[in-house]
Amino acid sequence: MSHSQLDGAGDQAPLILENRFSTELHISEPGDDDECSQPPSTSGPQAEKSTPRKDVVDKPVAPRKVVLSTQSFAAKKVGIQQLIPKNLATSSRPKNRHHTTVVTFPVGLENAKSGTVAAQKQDVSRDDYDSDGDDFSFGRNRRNKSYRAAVTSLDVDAMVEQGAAATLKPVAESTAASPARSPRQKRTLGRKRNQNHGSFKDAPPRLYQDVRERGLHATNQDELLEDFVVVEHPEEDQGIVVKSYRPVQLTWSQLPQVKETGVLELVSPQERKRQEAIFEIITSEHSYLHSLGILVQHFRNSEALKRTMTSTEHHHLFSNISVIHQISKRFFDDLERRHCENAVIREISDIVQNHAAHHFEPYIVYCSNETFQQRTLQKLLTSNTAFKETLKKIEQSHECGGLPLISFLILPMQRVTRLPLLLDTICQKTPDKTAEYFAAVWALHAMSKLVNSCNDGARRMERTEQMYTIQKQMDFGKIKPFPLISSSRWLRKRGELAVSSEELSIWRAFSNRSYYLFLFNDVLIVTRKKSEESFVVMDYCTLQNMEVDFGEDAEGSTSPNAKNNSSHSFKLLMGQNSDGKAEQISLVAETRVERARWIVGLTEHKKTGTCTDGLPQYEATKAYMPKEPDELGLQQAELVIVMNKEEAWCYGERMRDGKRGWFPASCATEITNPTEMESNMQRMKRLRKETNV
Amino acid sequence: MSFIPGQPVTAVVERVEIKKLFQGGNLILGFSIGGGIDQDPGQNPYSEDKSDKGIYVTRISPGGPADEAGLKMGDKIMQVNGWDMTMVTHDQARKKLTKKNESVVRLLVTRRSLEDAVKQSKGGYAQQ
Repeated sequence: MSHSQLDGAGDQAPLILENRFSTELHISEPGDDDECSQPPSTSGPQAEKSTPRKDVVDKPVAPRKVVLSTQSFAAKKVGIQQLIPKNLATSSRPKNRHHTTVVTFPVGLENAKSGTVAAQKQDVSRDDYDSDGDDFSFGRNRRNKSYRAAVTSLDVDAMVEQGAAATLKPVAESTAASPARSPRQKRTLGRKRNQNHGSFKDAPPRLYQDVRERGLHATNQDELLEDFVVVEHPEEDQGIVVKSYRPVQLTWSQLPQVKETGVLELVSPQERKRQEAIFEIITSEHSYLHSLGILVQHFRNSEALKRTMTSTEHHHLFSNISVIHQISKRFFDDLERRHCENAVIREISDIVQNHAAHHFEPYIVYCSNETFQQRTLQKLLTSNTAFKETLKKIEQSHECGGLPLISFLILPMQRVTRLPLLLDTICQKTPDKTAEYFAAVWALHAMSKLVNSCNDGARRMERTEQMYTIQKQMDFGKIKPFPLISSSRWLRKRGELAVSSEELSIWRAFSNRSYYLFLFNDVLIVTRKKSEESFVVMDYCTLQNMEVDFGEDAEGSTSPNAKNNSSHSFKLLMGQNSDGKAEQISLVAETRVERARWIVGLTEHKKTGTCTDGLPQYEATKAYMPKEPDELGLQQAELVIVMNKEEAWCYGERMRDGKRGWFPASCATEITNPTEMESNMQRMKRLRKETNV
Repeated sequence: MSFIPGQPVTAVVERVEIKKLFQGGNLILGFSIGGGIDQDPGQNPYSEDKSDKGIYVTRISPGGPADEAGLKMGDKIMQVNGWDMTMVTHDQARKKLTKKNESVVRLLVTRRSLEDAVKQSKGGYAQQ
C-alpha cells in the first residue's frame, strides 16, 4: 500500500513544514475516521479472495472512492513523477501505523505483492539514510523547477488510502516483509519524536558530504527565497504533482524564532537574503562538525582499525584531524552563541576573521599532509586486507551512512575552500560602504589567505616528493646527467608513447618501439622503460628549445604505411638535445585524446593567459579527483571555463584559481543561462581583482 | 622569477615606455593589472610561483598604447617610473600608473621568456 511506503520515509522533513500544513490537511482526518469505523469483517473475507485488490473497494458506505495502489494515480505515473513522503503531506502523527504495514492476502496475489514489495524496497532505502544519496539528481531538479511546487503539492491519494488501510488493522497478519518493516519503522518513529523544539540542531544532522550550500549558487538563491515564503492551499484533486523530493533544508526564514517574532515583515528582502546567507554558514558548519565528529569517533578512535596498521601509517592517515575537530567546534560554538543572542544577526565577520587569522593554522598542516594521506590510504587498501575489512564494516555502520573513508578525510579541504565562496555571498548581500561590508571583506581576505597557505603547503609537499621519487628512478647511462631536483620544477605529465613506424628503419627495428616521456614544466625527458620503477634516459630537451609539429591532415596522409594513423601522431623537433644537437622524434598516441593532451601539455607554457571571455562555462555535477598531473580536480558545483574538448575529455580552466587541466566530460554540464554565466564571470573577477589603467 | 622574502630579487627586465592616450575624458594606458600584496596570489594564472604577490598584466586592449609599446599579457611589472611595484597593494599600483600629471609611464617588466633568452644567449646549456 502506498501509504505504508510513505510512512516512515518522510521523517527527515523538519517540523516547520508540518506546522504549515497542519491546518490545510485536517480535511482528511474525518475521512480517515469514517473509514476506520468500518467493520473489519468485511475486509476479512475479502482478504481470502485471490483478487489483486487490497483496499476495500466495494465497501457499502464508502465516503470516498478508493483506488487500488497498483491502479492508483501514483503507480501509473511511472517515470515522470515521484511519490512524496507522507510526512510532507500530513500533520498527524502516525497512530499505530506499524500495524497497518501490510496486507494480508494469501501468496497467490503476485500482482499486488510485487507492487508493494518493490515500492517498499524503494522506501526502505529512504528510511535508512539520513540524507538521500541521490540528492544530487533531486537537487538538480529542484533548482530548475519551481520550489513552490515541491513544497506545496500534496499526496492526497495516499491519505485516502491510509484511511482505507486502517480498516485492515485488526486482521493484518504480518507477511514476510512486515516484521522486517516494523522494527525499522519503529526506529524511524523514534527519530521523529524530537522534532518539537525550535532549534535547527534537532533535525537529524545531515552529513556534510551531501550538503549543497545554496550560497554557492548566488543567482538561484534569489528565486528560491521568493518562492518559498508563500504557501498556497492545495486543491483537492491535485494528485501527486511534485516532481522532486529532497529533505528540506532549514532556512533562516523558517526558524520558529523568526516566524514567531514577526521579524520577517520588518527586514528588507536584501537583509533577509543576507541573514539567510549567514545562517547557511552556521548550519553548514554544524553539518560539517557532525561529519568530522563521525570521522574522529568512528574511524580515528576505532581500536579495531588501529590494530590493522602501524602507528606511522595511522598518523599519516589521520594527521591532526582531532585538532581540526576541536577548532571547528570552537568556531561553531562562537557562531551559535551569536545566533542565540539574536535571531537577526548583525554580522559574523569578526568571528570569522578571528578564527581564520588565529585559530585555523592546523588546517595548513592537515592540507599539506594530503599527499601522504592519499598514498597511505591507497597502500593500505591494496595491500592490507585486515584494514580493508575492518574499514568496510565501519563504513557500513549506520552513522557513517555507507560513505567511504576518503570522503570524510577530504572534508577539511572541502570546507576550507567553500568558506571563501560562502563569505563572498555575504559580501554581495551586504549594503556597500557600510561598516559591515568592510568587515565582511576583511573576513573574506583572511579566509582566502588561509586557503592559499593550505594550497601552497599541499603543492610544495607533493612536488618535492614527486621530484625526489622520479630522480631516484632515472638512470642517465651514457647521457649527460641533468639536475632534476629544483624547487621550481614539477611534473606536468608522464606516459608512454609509441614511436611512429615511419621512423623505424631496418636496423632500428630491434630497438625499442615505445618511449616513456616525462614532461616537466620546463623540460622533457625521453626515456625507455625498464620496469615500473626504473627508466633509462634516452634524451632530453628543454621546452624552450622544442617545437611540436602536429599536422592536421588526418585523411591525406602520405605515409604508405597503413598502420600509421597520422591523426594520432605528432613530431617533436628538438632544437638542442642532451648532446647539443638537433633531433626529432615522431610519436604516435593511442587515441586522439592522448595526443591532444600531450600537445596541450607541451605547448602550454607558451599559451599562458589566453583570453577566457566568451568561452563556454561548465559546472561540475560530480566531484573529480585528478589521477594524473595534467588533470584538474573538481569539487561539486565547481565552475570551469572550457577551452578544448576532445572525445570524452575537456580541457578547461578552474574559475576558482585559474588552474588548467583535463577532466572527463561526464563530470560536468554546460551552463547555458546567460545571466548566470555573466554573474559567474563577475564573481571570478571579484575574487581575482583586476583594474584597468 | 621566484622570490624569497628578505633576499634581493634578480630579474631580467625589459623597459617599456607607454604614452598615455586621452580617451573618453581620461588618460588611459590600455591594459589591466591584477595582483598586489593585499590580493589573492593563488588566483594568478600567469605567475609561476603561486605565492607571488607582484603586479601582473592581465589584459591588453588591442591596438592601445600598451599594445603598441610591446607590453605583453602575463608580464610582471617591477617598476613604474622608478616606483617599486613588487611590494605594493593593488590600489597603490593603480595610483602609480594613473597619475594625471604624467603623460608617459616607463615600466620595467619581466617575463619568463626574457630570462630564458638571456640564458640561451649565454651559450650552451644553462644549469637550472
